[in-house]
Amino acid sequence: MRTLDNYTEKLQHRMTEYCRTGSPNFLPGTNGKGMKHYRRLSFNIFNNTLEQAYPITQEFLNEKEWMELVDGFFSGHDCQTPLLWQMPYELYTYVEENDLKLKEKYPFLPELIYFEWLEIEVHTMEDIDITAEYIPDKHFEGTVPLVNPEHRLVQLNYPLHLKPIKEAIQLPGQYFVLIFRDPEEGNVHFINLSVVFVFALEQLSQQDLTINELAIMISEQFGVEDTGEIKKHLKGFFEDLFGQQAVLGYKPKK
Amino acid sequence: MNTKIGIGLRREFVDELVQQKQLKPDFIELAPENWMKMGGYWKKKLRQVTEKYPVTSHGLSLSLGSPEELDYDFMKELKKFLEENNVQIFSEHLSYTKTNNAHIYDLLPIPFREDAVKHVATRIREAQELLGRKIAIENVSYYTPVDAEMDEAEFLNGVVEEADCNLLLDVNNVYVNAFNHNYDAREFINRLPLDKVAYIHMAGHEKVEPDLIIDTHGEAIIDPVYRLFEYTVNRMPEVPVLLERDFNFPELEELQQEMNNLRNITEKAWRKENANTR
Ligand SMILES: [Fe+2]
Repeated sequence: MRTLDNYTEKLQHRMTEYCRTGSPNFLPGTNGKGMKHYRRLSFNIFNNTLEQAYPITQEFLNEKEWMELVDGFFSGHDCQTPLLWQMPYELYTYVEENDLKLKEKYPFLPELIYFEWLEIEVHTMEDIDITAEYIPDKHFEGTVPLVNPEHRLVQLNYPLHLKPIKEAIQLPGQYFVLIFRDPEEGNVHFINLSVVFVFALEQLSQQDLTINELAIMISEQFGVEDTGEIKKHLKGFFEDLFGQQAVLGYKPKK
Repeated sequence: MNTKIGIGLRREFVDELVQQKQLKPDFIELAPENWMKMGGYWKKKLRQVTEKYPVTSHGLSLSLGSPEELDYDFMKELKKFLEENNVQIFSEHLSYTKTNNAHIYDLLPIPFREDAVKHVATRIREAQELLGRKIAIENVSYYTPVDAEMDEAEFLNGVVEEADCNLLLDVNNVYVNAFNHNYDAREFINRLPLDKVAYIHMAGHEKVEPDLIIDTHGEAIIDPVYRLFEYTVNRMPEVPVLLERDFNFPELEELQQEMNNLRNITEKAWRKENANTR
């Protein structure tokens, strides 16, 4: 049952439109000074939240460009999440999906924003309980490494995880990154990966595999004959990940 | 029994609340939207705090004054969150933060109009049903009326009565609105259903222009607001009182001192009341 008159509804729409665009929108029985504060306060909520989420992007763009980005987003994108802390993710989808002038000038902009969001995402992602029984040690002979489930594996076109932004954008290429959260402190860490190790992690995410089995798969996939050498590298790799808590231990192979 | 004096939970002093060195509130209030769907570090911190203190919750994005439908998925998540964290009182603002399916995360002033009273009350009733509990509706600061047919007190009274909800009385907001819109704060308090108050908010504000105060929660409580608080608590039954401080944090002792001030005022008012009824 409708309880609100069209007229009142229109007043409310106009109010939010004014906040989002700042363009004069006649609203009866209001005072201009108060209206301006609503525009300022709501814009600041967006600007401050985005500045906090995207410090590298904000620093990289000049002030005019940053304001253009925030303003375009605030006025042009309908934010869907009720959780303010998730709102910055919608800036990423907005930049990804829209033809923005800024993207012509900086083709890496969506990736930069995505990269910054990833850190927030991994830091805040909901806890994933580990149901499997495992031993928190690095004995990877004949056992299955247990990868810390609180991670993302991504491919980047710029080494944003390795270099300051201005250098990173000069080095387009194929980069693979494991981003994970350590279980104790909850800090986020980035590990640069070669394509072989990405392959190994992807296989492991699909089924329980020992280092031996992984070595054989890698040998077939990449045409490397010396499985002994591959095994050695894999062992070192998982031991290193264990040291950083990207791998939490091992499961006995059933 | 002593009056419960609480403080709004901020990430800046989560650890202090866990260690209880300088801040010793009786309860804390948190905004569910700032903690929902979060794991990792902040979930751990939240658990440490909620294990230690009774919790009230102050919603941000329910947008009870919106023209459109409630966000039912969000309501479900919210209910789960309130239950998981053993939240004792849930409050929300008498305002809206969303229209045309777009959140703007700011508390906008609902036009004080007849149809809006009915509409908001209907939505509050629905939200109460979905959450399975009463909501305490907060009087917000507003910086302009919007084609009003009535004044704020009439609007607030109308909503609370029609929705059969509780009231979260923000005394600082009464002060701010009375100043900005030129009315008498005490007379405004007199017109409220004080028996419906679930708890009280107290906070500081900022005078940005000679004739305009913005409700920032970034300053200490000023004396005239303490006096309005004293006036208020002398006219109503005992309820918990919460100090809101959202940024520009002082030394923690100063926050504790503000809580102590609130306690002293309530003790005078409510001890007297208890003695009279004995
Ligand atoms: Fe408040």
